[in-house]
Amino acid sequence: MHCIEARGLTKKFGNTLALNNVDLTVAPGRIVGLIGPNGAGKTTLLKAILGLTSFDGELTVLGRNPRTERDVLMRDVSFIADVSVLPTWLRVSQAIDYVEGVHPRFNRATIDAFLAKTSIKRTAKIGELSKGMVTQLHLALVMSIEAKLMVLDEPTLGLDVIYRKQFYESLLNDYYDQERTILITTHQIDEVQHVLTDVMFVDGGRVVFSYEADEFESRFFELSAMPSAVNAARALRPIYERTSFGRSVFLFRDVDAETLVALGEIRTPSVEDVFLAVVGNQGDNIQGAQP
Amino acid sequence: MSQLETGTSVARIDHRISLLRCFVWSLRKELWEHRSIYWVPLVVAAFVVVGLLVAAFDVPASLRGQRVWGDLTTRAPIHLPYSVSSMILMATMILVGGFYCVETLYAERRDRSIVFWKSLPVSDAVMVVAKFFVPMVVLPALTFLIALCAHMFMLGASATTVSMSAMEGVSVSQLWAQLPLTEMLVALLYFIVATTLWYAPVFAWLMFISVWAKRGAFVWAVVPPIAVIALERIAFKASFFSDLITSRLNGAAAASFSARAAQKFPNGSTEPFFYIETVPDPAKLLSSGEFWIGLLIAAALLIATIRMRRLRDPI
Repeated sequence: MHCIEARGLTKKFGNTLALNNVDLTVAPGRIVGLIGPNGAGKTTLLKAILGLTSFDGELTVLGRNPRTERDVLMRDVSFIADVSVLPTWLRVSQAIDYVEGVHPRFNRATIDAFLAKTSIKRTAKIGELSKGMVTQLHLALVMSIEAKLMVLDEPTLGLDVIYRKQFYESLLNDYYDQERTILITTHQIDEVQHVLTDVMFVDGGRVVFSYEADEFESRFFELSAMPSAVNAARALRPIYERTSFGRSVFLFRDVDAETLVALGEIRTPSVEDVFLAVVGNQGDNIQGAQP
Repeated sequence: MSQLETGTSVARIDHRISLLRCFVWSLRKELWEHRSIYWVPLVVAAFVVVGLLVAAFDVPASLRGQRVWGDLTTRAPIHLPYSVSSMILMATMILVGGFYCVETLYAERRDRSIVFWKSLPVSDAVMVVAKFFVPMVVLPALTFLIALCAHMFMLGASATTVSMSAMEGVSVSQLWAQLPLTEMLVALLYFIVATTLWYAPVFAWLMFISVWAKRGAFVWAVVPPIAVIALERIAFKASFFSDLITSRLNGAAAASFSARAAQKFPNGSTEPFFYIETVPDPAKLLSSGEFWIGLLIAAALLIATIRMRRLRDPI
């Protein structure tokens, strides 16, 4: 059974298409990154998956309809869909007690271990914590739920570098196993790229491109072309071209590495470069680059 | 075979939590959030107790007047502190319940916490019913307990003032004779329950507005009924709707109690003394169409509120 299966998922806000006929399949045990610019439809997609918004089309999450079975679905799902949604009047200890009270998969030992690494006081009200601490608490709550699917929308917004690193480490080491699926959106591509097994670029309400992390290095190359080979490189239909230190730099997708080596130096681009190339230049270059 | 013998380190957990447990935790959460639910009644109770203490000093004089003027004419002053304090506490109960209802589902959208609550396996129905429990069960129970304590205090205080009083012929046993305690408490409990049920559609309406309004929930709760009343008065010179509203807000006692004529023969007199007594009348309440229609409206509004919360986002 697929963890998430969507067919023809569409959502309109007035005249704007937030989701435009999205087809999406996520197998269990994957760590999927949804990457896209603001307004791309990432959050709307997540909200549909979590049963927080209505939509047209078909969608099943863990075999359930998130729209009509949200409460049952949430036994197996944990999520952070929005920053700062913990109510300010709630005490830290009450937040933990409540989640433990209503959630069958909550593990108190886990949250105790998480909070021990922070300076969050249990007697404090959430309104008295700093923004970063509230995020730490929310992450700790979500990580203490042994869910089948975890959804994180911009999870590390407002956290310092040290804690962000700690968080992704414990996400991989302590939380992730082959039966769990994790769906993450973030702007900080560099931070998650080593964590993900699958990357999906989202733009204009569609999944414009997706690949498995394993195949990234064999599919994408950045060529710093010799001046004499510039035209030859252009003929291979790069998805992006820029100039760096006087040399033309091309980004290729699905072009044989041996062909490229003859034209200059090649290296593996960063996910960010590929993202900018694919999403930033969608209208023209990407069409030409398609096989 | 036990779990240990199977050799699995992780025991099989039933990944369900009973509806009752979800409900109880959600109700506790409401009490954490809205502390006015118990603070306001307790503060009002403090003022009531001070008032009762002062009133207790008048009790010996009332009892003495009764000896002089006869049994019945002076019954009212002795009963008055009890009924007035009950009324004040019940008015507080209705006000606190009303403000809670109009606030609760609006506040969780305003502070965005609705997204957090919806990330947990608690259905909208459990959440809304837990909230509805506050004005329908928590506040009435609390009000009854507070009124009970206030009345016990009044009894103790007036017994003390009476026994310390130098007035001739005034005794504590005469005071007891005037106060049919069980009867009073049953009537109080009945009145609280009847009033709460009578107000059910009002609370449900306020909760519906609370989940529906994008801003100014209180205004939305009050203005439409006023607009309808204005329209029917001006355009049709009718008062159907305004009578309905008035009877809903003001008619709980009339719907649940009956006034009946009674007579007594005070102090061995052969001349009967006629008076009117008000007694609990559950049969009257339960046979009232208005009562049942109110409950049906409350149920319909509650279902609408549950469905609406499913669609609701932070504002």
